[in-house]
Amino acid sequence: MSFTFEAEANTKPSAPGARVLVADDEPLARFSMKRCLAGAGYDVVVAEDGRQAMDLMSDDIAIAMLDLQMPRASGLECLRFARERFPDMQVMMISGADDLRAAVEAMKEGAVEYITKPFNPEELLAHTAQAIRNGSLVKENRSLRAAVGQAPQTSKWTAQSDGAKRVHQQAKKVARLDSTILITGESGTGKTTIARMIHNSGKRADSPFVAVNCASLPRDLIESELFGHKKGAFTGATEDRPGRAEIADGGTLFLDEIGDLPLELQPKLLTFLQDKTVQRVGSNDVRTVDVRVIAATHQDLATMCQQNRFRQDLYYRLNVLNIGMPSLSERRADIPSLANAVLQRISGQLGLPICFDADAIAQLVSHSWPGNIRELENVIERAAAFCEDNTIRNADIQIDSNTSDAMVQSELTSLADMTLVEIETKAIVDTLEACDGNKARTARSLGISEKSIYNKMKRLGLR
Amino acid sequence: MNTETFDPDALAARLGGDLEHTRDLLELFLSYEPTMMGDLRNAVEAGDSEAISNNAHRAKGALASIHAGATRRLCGRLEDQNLSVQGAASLFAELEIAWGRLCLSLASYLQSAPLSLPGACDAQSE
Repeated sequence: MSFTFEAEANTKPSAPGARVLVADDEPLARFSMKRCLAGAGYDVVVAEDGRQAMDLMSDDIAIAMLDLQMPRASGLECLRFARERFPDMQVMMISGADDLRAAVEAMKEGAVEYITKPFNPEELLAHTAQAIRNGSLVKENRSLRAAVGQAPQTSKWTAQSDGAKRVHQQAKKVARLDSTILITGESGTGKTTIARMIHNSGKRADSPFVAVNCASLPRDLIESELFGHKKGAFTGATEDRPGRAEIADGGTLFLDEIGDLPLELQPKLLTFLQDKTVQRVGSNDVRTVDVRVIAATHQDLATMCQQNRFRQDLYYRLNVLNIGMPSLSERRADIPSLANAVLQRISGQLGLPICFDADAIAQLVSHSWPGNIRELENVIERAAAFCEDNTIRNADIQIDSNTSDAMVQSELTSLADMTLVEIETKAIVDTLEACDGNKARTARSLGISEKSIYNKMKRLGLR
Repeated sequence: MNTETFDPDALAARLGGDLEHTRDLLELFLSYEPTMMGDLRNAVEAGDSEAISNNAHRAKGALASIHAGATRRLCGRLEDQNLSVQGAASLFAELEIAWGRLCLSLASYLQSAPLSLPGACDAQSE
């Protein structure tokens, strides 16, 4: 598959209309970036210097793209300002090919990515889409932390259920060690939160925590994202670039959705785990890095090994220490405190003293929560928005029927009334929605090739 | 055309063959270049090393955007803050000549450049 095809599949705005701030004192760069981003559906605002960039920053800005060297305030100053005032904002640095060291330093200060000038439009759009996804993940992580009453820098984990207590104990123990950890559990159970907690509680806390979501990166780019590339290694590799493993040097490399790592790349990861060495794509140089690896997955890797979809040797190497995250239904005792923590955060945002009545809490506890904490949070947000007298009652709690057990059962039954084309259409539409519109992930989830998903969508009239 | 002065093929290739984008970028450069060059000249005449470096850096970025390699390299040398005032003035004189040559090349290219990719007009007329 060509790079172009992958880029097309992954450069659509994850959040259509998301607002992007482009700050560069050089007018051609501003013009080109605005043109590419606006053409892809982003809402673009531009700044001509660092001070103007800071003035334009607001909660509405999803991504800020900051030139490193600007008059009135440098890109690094703007980055620090954004990190302090707008922690949800994803910051990407813009640098010249000779400023790469500064760009990498900026990543250690919290920038999620850097792009080099003159930029390649496909690469710009791929990184932008990735940054939007990162932003969603950051919000989600913070919500989860809030939901469990836990600050990221501490190892506090207030929990009543046996499952949550067990996770807390395990996280505390493994934080002291330097072994590879595999965190398993359903989506929305807080795997990323626990990974960060382990990092923040260990001896590497002052070094970077670098996350890579193996499911959301284009297949052709995963290797270069992880291990870097040499200039000219492939189309679009216009300069030498370190990978996430090098950027995480001294800290923790978090490999989320490790079950989605392409089989052909697994031997290289295995070598990395064994030797702690990286070799950039297209380079013969071997570099040694000092990182702790934490991997996470919602998939059953043992079964995947039996099906030859995941290398057994890699599985053993990752699964040195294992933490199994309990689903929310397995820790019902925590639901009242989780729900109250979520509501407290929402109340703070709305500036209203919202509370639950007793029946509402009982209803929350009785639900099975297939979407775990993420689903709980969505339900509470909806209820808080529509409740009256600042009190959430039973009637305000609307469980998403698409995720409730009853609906899942009824959907299965209703398939009998559908034609094969309707079932196929529904499977693609539902999976696309679950994968945030990412066709590469959708194809992997459905077990078909990316080419097939495009062909099927075209045949079924889907866009 | 000397690709060291300006490489239109590399520019178009980087922009994915988008000739409209290519043309707009070059026109923007030509409309903005007097300001860029004026700022740099003022800095050199004032002997202000920091302003020379900052303006040369900005010009270097713009020149990289349009794949004007020779002029970009001159700006890269002018960006060096350790340059003496005399050295900067001498380098700037060299830059002015290269810059003028570049602007002529760009204007000439824009006059003769294709407006769309070969075949695009045929496809539209079908």
